[in-house]
Amino acid sequence: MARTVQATVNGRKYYEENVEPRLLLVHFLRDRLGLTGTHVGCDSTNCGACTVMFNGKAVKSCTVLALRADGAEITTIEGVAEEERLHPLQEGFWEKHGLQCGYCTPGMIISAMQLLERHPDPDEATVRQELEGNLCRCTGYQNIVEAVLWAAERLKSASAQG
Amino acid sequence: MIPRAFEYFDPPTLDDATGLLEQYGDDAKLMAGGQSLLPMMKLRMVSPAVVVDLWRVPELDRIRRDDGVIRIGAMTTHYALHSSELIRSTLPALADAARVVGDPLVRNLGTIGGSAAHAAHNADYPPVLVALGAEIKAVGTNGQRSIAAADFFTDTFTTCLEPTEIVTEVTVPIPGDRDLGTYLKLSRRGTDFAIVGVAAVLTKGEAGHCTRARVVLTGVGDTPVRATEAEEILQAGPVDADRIHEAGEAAKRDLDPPSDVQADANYRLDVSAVYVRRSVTAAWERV
Repeated sequence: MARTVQATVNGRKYYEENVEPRLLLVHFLRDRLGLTGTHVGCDSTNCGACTVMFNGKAVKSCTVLALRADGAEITTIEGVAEEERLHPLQEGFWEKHGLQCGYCTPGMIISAMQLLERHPDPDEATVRQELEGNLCRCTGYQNIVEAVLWAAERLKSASAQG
Repeated sequence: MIPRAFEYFDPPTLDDATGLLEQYGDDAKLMAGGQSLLPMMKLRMVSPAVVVDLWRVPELDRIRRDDGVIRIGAMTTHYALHSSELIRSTLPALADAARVVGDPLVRNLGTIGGSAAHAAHNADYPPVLVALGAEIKAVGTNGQRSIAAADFFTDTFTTCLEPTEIVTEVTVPIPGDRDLGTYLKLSRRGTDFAIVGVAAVLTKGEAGHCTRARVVLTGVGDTPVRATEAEEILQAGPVDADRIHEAGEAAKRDLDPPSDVQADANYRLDVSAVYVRRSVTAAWERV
């Protein structure tokens, strides 16, 4: 039986009626809320293109039921920049050419946000290991890793200046 | 990929959950983190008419030390386990396994209870739970019981749980100071299941002897497989590189691994020896 889901997405409260149990979070975000920045990639819990921040944890939104979003706080790629100011990770992907086709980028950036929360001063191996759940078919990962390391430096110097 | 339509319940208590399992019988599937069940439902390998989701049941995600054992709630996520100081310091083999299940995104949602009950033949926890002598606690309409991990896994995707039973906790005896382990896994990519995984738990005695060895493999049979001959060799004299090598070769004699898309049987057999060697060496260095 369909239910109502109340969720806060990118700081905005949504109240969605008639949510079917089999509706997946990624389709809830894209088709019901119109937040199409979260991509459907493999749709089989492999590629991480659909990664969103879900109650403070980066998860594959193709592998979460929308009904579990009831009461949840969610951040999608649309909620990462502050007004016109890009997040340091977004800047890093820009500066270091961390994307080519861009399909995996929203998921990469959300995963990298989690990575930098857990490892504020990561080395290259840590970045590669923590991005294991996100596949990119264009870049060979090199520039993505550099983008994340660039953002880590930027965030460190920002917090040092306090 | 969309799962077939199903009826969804997310009961607030275990009693309600077991009641639903009793009511719906084989039509119902339990969901913990959903990281195996949902992909299988999307691929329509399983299409339960009813999903009973445990996410609202409180207090199933605690890790605590209690009178010589560590009690791990069934809904404890892989991330919570491998980032727990208590688990890393007392049960490093379990922390090793929790750190290599799936990938970081899967580890944020997937749970130890869900993984145990799913009982994939190539999952990372089962060999570790067997090697550590863990018990799995289950609650059903007939009350509560504890099951030794060695008896819990009965076949691929099959456990000894009764239809209305729910895993609530994994209990692991706290090893002594000279009694530590490792889990080491071979997989092709981060997200993959183990081609071969080896849990080694060793007790260091006097003069470089190992007084007790447990070596258990995943990915090489329908359930976790104990390499008993390898264990005997490790316990038979001072542990050095030669003895560890011999144990690896002996492990092969206990195995009859399957061939699948990831690796054929011969390859699995050969890397089993290598991973037994590496896992035992790492465990021995840890003690």
